[in-house]
Amino acid sequence: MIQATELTKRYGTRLAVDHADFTVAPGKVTGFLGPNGAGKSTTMRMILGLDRPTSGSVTINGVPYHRLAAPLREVGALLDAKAVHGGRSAYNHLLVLAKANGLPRSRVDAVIDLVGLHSVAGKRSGGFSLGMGQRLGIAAALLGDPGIVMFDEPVNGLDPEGILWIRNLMKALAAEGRTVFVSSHLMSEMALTADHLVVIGLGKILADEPMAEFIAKNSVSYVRVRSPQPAELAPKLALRGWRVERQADESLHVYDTQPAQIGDVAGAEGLWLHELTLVQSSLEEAFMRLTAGSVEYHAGQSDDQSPPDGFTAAGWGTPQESQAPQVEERIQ
Amino acid sequence: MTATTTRSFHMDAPIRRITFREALDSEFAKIRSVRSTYWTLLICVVLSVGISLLIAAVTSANWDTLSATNRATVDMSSVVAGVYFGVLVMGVLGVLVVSTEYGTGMMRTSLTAFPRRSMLFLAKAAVLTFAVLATGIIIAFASYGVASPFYTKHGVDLSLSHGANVRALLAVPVYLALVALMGLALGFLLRHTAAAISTLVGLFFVVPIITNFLPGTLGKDINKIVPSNAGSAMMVTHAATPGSTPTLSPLGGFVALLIWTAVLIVPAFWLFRHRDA
Repeated sequence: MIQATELTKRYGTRLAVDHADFTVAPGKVTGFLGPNGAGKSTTMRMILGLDRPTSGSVTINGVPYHRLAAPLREVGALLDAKAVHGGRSAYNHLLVLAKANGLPRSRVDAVIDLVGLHSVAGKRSGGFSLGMGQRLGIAAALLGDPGIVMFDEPVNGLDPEGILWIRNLMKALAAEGRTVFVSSHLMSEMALTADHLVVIGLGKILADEPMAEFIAKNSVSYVRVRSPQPAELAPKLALRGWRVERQADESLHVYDTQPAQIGDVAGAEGLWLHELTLVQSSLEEAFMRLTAGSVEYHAGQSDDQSPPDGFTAAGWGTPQESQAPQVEERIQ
Repeated sequence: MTATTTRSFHMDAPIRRITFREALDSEFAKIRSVRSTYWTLLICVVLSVGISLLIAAVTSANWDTLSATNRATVDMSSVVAGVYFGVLVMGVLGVLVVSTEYGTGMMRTSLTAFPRRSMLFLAKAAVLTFAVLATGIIIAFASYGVASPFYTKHGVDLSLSHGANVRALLAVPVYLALVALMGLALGFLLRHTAAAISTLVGLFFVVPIITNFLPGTLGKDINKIVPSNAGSAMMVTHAATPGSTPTLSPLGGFVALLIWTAVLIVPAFWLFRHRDA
């Protein structure tokens, strides 16, 4: 169990983590979702006692990290797979960590077997591929058979096989009753692995709820209809009790129904249809809507405070994605 | 390697609280498991002993041309003269032991495994001190072995039955260890290999030069206490000769070097405990 209470970290004038309250419970995978620079890594570093909170606190099974009797027996963390001395062999890297907690050598062999690094255990880790480095990091995290595991962006840069392996591992660890806390900036990744979701944007916790609830609340769909006679079609559809919105480009967005039923209405009324498309807003869009809100909120608050790296609406890149906030306006 | 086999690696042993012992074990495993440690120590031995030998051979060959005052300055410090250069290598080792952990991010991994920072700092310092002291003893006696015959054949008394000679020889590992600790402190303070090594080199080779340009006795006074001269003073056994550059007494040199080390290590310790990793 990880518990953050009013957890705050300030770097100069920038609030990296802003009075965050959340609990990570055992037996499930909790996804920690937020865009780059939202405060995920800072939060994780504070959980591990690497960074000191400006105010507030975070505890592991009720105590601050540095007071744990043997940290590796209680928490296994993978923050950065590259955080190893490249000149040390994988085996020796794990041995150094095992000794730091008084764990026997047999633990090193056990985790090397578990992650499948047997053939390269004696090689210097500096020459490892990203995937091998990630496996070494996970081996280190599981060294003390901890009840809590934390992974920071574990699938970044991995090949499909590695991604699948990590997903299954996280689910298996949670199924064994462990607390699994995993961060990501990809909603699609979280949708596949997480049972519970903690969303962070600009340091603020924006959502803390079961995945199913988040999906139910945030997935929106509508049918886009194009017709040469929108003025006649719209009232007919509205008569059926469906919400209809007329767009600037003369298309109609119809909610609470399916394309076939709209087609039936148009056919019965003898009206032409040029397009009938079911548009589903993805979870990714829901997530972006959520975090985009926090960007606007902060940008409006003070002009001189620039948002952290990568955390701008434009930073999200693709044109399709940048339309997301517009979708929201139409819906409301 | 499949994810579903994690149960099979279950650990039943009771949780034991980590102590200084675990920190020491871990740090010892760390310093032993990278090649750079062995390279650095080997370079230090070869450089120190090699230059001691070279200086001895050259001095011996030119013995007839030396003045009486110059001959009077030949003592145990001449036997281990190569340490003047080797000491910097130990300083670099001290820097590397810390700065490579910051450079690679290993420090975060280390602190996650062992979050009791004071103990981790002390364990790192203890293991480094042990490695450098052991190597320093080898350097002192190897230098004595290869270099002393060149001097004794000219009648210089280097007998180890004299307490002063033994003291001078044992000052070698102490000097090396203190400089390694200065390097360690700089590594913790600056957390960057190049910056820490540059500072160390500056302290040893640049500051003494600058003191030459200072007016009056101020330059000479500072020159006496810079780390390289304080350290060299520890190994001198001959009495001060009139007209030579003023130096500290062996004990004075030791105290000056202790102060240098403390001035660097105390803030390093404090910062390590309080700074974000």
